[in-house]
This record gives sequence, structure tokens and C-alpha cells, in this order.
Amino acid sequence: MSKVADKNSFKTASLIAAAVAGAFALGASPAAAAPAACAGPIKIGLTTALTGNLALLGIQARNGVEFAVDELNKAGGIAGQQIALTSEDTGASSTDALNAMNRIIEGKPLVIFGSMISPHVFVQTEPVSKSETPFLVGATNAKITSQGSKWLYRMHVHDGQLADLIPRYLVSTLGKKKPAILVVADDYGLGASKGIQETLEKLSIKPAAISSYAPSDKDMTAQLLELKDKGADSLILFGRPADVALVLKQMGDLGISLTTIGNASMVAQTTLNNLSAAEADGAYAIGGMIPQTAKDAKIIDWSARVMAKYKVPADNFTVGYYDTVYLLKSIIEKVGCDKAAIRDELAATKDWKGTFIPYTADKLGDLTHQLGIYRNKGKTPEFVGPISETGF
Amino acid sequence: MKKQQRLLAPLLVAAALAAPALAGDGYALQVLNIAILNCIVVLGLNFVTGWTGQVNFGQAAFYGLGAYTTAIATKAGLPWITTPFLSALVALIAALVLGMPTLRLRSYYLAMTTIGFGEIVRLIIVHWEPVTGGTSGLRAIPGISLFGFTVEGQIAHFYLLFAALALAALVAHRIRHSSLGRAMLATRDSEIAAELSGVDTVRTKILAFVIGSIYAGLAGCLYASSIRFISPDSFTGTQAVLFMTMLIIGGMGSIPGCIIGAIGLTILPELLRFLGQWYLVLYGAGVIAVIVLAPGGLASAYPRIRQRMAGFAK
Repeated sequence: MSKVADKNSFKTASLIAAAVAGAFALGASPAAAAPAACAGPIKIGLTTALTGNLALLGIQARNGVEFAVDELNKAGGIAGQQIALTSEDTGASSTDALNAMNRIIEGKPLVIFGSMISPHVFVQTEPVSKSETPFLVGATNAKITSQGSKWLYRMHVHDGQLADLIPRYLVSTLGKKKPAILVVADDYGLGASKGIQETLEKLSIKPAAISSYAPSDKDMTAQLLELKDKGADSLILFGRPADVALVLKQMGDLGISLTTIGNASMVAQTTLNNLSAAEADGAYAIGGMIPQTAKDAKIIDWSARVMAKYKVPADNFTVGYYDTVYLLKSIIEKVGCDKAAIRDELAATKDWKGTFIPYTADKLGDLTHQLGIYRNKGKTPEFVGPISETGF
Repeated sequence: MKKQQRLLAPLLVAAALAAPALAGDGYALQVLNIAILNCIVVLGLNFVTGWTGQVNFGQAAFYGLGAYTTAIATKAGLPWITTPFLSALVALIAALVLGMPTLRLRSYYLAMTTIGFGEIVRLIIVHWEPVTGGTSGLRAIPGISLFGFTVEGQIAHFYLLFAALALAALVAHRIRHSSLGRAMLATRDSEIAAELSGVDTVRTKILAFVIGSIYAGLAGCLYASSIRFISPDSFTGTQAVLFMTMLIIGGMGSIPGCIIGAIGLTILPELLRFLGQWYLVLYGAGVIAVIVLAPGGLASAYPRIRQRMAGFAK
């Protein structure tokens, strides 16, 4: 064998070895793996309440997701693919929510958005987890992310955070010592009431009165007179915009003037639309970030465009759902259209910058840990400052 | 006619048994399973409202009682086989407590009492949180397990629920043609005339109410074990009105009518999903159309059409 032939065979062997080593190196390093390609339009499913007594809330989820999807599609989609959004109405019942989810799952979406109605998300979690699809929800019951599903993530503030922060702020910052608690008697309000009582107990504060009203109630004067008679110096109010407006209005009618603090419903546009400046003035809220108080021109413009399209002002839920679509975009561009990889990236989310706040996944799957404190000046909510979940 | 009916029944059963092959193990079959459960509840409602003429708006509450009894019992570790009996027993006791004082009275007292009963049950479920899970409901309810066999997947649930419906319809048919069934019809037509004929109308009304409640309790048991999650929003007054609508649309007093009404009004909203929020308009218009065009319900439409066709032929 000649020297040239030897040299050539050595070169070939070296190339093969290098190629094999390279292939092994690529295979061994997940970071170097090419993202899973997205074949055809990227399917996203959404189930939310679009009819029934929860529709006012449910449409905020639809508006947030749909607005972001429309923006992205106009800009060329994600990773060169258009997004195909399918929405299904859950109505007001868990059985209908389950039907809606099964219908969505049959479409084999890449990601599913659930609503902010906790019982609906509870009933949907098992079939979504079985389908091994990332499930992004705004449901506010603290236990939602404790169900043990590795596919479920929450992009919104939950009752546990509010139940901890609201009484602490009322007692420590506003200096109140005898608060009353009034909540709507549904999953949202009663869950919060329990947590609020626990926090007050930790602060060695005994509530002056604890009361609730049914979601369909229109007259809360009996509850208000009770807390007045028991000498409350402040009120923690937890409800939906429609009933919170009624409570504030009836407090005005009865001449009950108390420092009132509650969830984001206190500063929601739908609440303020139904109140006079005197009735709304001075009420505090702690909750997800709302666009009404923004000073940033981009956010003001965004709110105006949402309002122009849907004729409903954007709220904290709209922002949360909108942000999450963009979070997904960044994840899909990084890891492609592989459901498990998307789930793992959601779990690894750290300081992803949204419209108002950074999103970071904790070990349960909660992405939101920063909230806002608001106070109504007349009928205009003002941003007092941010407040973080304990431990963040 | 009887020969036609004899041929039709096995055909319908065969079609129903073949449904999973057509629907697949997913959404469509899940909807069908819920429709079957609604059929059992409406069959129960038919005893007291369709055959005995007493207006009952508490059927959703009995359905809820059955569901919560099963959920609480199985989560506490009791074997599933005990739960149908427990659910039926709880529904029976509640029906006796409610029915014994109320059904001694005539006219619409039962309607008013059952509306109140539904609200009481809802409030207990919502506020007795350590036991009922409150408004968040109860999750991870153990599924149906019989003699070591666990029922898994929509198809298996479909066959089990279908068998339960067949049994429920058969029992209803036998009761309808018994002396009790005839007493129920007599009570509905005229309580005074029935009493003059020797019918104990109070006993008849209580029995009809109790049997109907047991049907709802058993359906609730199957609902909790097959869906494996329950919350108060599935057993509201709105649901009670929906059961009543199913009975009226299908045809009060008719077993096939109950089944047609329950299946129709469960599936129709799903079929109209493509209309988005507008489906409620079409749904409402459809319900009004049936009430106006077929006052006896859909079950009465076929004989009426046949009668008219015969008239034309003459």
C-alpha cells in the first residue's frame, strides 16, 4: 500500500470518526437539538364561558387570547406558521365545561387555554392531562395548581395570594384593627374568605363580622347593617364587579363610610361604570395588573385597540391571557411544536417580561407572583404600587 | 302496529349498542353518556309530574344528593357497590321528609316546596365545605368498580349506563301498567274522582315522588362515578328547569318521550355549537316551536302525523 493511499484512508477514518462523534454530541445535548417542526397551522384551543352568568368574565379570556393571536397572525404567525384558534363555550355548568373540553381535545391542539372559572378547570384537568397537552388557565382557586398535573400552568393571580396580601396590607399599612369580611358565596368568594380569616388570625386580629351573599342577590343591606352594628372599622370585600358595585352603592345609601379593600373587581371598569364618584372614591384593591392605570403609551394604545375591537375594556384577565400567548410564542420559537418540550419550557419560565410584570414558574406551575395595589380617586383607579407574593 | 313496535325496539337497541363504534371513545360518547344520565333523571321526574300531575322542581337537588352521597362515600373508602344503595337511601329519606307533609295538600304546593328544597340543598353543599368541598366541588372521585372490575373509558361507561337506562325504562314500564301506575294516572286526572274510586291519592303521590327521587339519586351516583368531579353548579335550579323542559318537550307521561326529550335537549346545544353565542336563540326558538306545534311533546308527534296521513289517504 502506498503512502498516499494510507494518508487517504486515515483522512476518511478521521472524517467518519469526527462525524460519529459530532452526531453523538448533538444527540447527547438537548440544547443543541433542532426544535420540533410545526407542521401546518399551530392549533390552539380555548374553553371559556361565553354565555350564562359568567360570560362577563369569560369573554375577557377570549378577548386576550384572540387579540394576541390576531396580532401574531398579521405579523406572520409563530415560526412561520399561522395560529388556528378554536374557542368553545363552557356555559355556566361544569358538565358543559367538560363537554367543551372533550370537543377541543378531539381537535388535537398544541396548547389549550382554560377559563378563570375554577370548578370548570377542576373538571377539565383530568382529560387534558390524559391528552398530554399543555393547559394554561386563569382560574383563581388556590388549589388549582395543587392537583398534581404536570401539564397545568396558571398565568393569573390566585385567591391564596390575595387572601394573604389584602389583610396584611389593611392591618400593617392602613392600620385597621377591626375589619369585617363580606364575600360573594361562590367558589371565588368563599375560598378567599377562609384564607382571609386565616391570615387575620396570624396577625392576631379578630374580624368584627363575617358575612356573604348569594351571587344573584341584589340587596346586601342586611349584611352591611350587621357589620356596621358590630363596629367594624374597615371592610374586606370580595366579589364580582356587578355585585361589588351594588355593595358600594348600598354602603353609600346607608351612609356607611369604611375603608374598603378587595379584589380587582373594586377597580374594574364595569364596577366603576355603575357607581358615582363619591361611591367609588377611596376603595382599595389588590389584584392582577389592570391596564386602566397605565402611564406607558404602548399599553394605553393597546387598551384602546382592545376596547375598539370588543367594546369591552380590557382587565387583568385580558392582560394575563394576552401575555401568555406571547410567552407561548417565545417558547415555540425556541423548542418547536413538541408538547412535552413546551411543558418543560413553561416549567422553566423565569423572569419572562410580560405587559406589566415578569412571569416566573414556581414548582406548582403558578407563573404570576407580582400584584398591584390600586385606589379609586373618584371613578378613576390609581396605581399605588406593586406588591409581591410572600417569598418572591 | 304492535308488530311494528316489536320490530322497532330491537332495532333501536342494536343502534344504541353500535353507537360507540360510530361515536368513538371521546367527545360524542361523553355527551351521549350525559344524555343517558339525564334520561334516567327525567324518567324519574315523569313518575311524579307526568303520571301523577304534581309539579316537581327538586329533581336536580335529588340528583345532586345522589352524586354527593356517592362521592363522599367512595372518597371515605366505602366500596363502590354500596353507593347506589346509599344514594337511593338518601334520596328516599329526603323525599319522604319533603313529600309527606307537602303531598297531603293539593295544587302547586309541591312546586313551591321543591324550589325551596333545591335552594336548601345548594346552600348546604356550598357552605358545608369540609364535607362537600364547597363551591370548589369534590375531585378525584373513585370510579365505578364492580366485583374487581373497574369501568374505564367512555365506551365501557356507555354500555353500563345504557344497561342502567334500559333497566330504569323497564321498571317504569312495569310500574305504569301496575295498579300503582293506574292510581297515579287517576290521581293526575282528578284527585277527587280517584279518591271516590278508592285510590289513596296521598299514598300514591308520595310513592310517585319517592320513586322519582330514587331514580334521580341513582343517576347522581352514576354521574359522580363516571365524571369523577362534582360541583354545585351541576345541580342548580336552572338544571331542575332543564329537566322539566326535557319532560315537556319529550312528552309528559310517555317513557319514549322522556328519553327523546332528554337526549334531544342534551345533544341539541352541542350540535348548535357552531353558531357560537347565537345558539341560545335557535335553541329557545326550537323549544317554543315544539311546544306550539306538538303540545303533547315530541312523542305525540308521530301518532298525530300518522292520524293526519290516514285522514289524507281517506
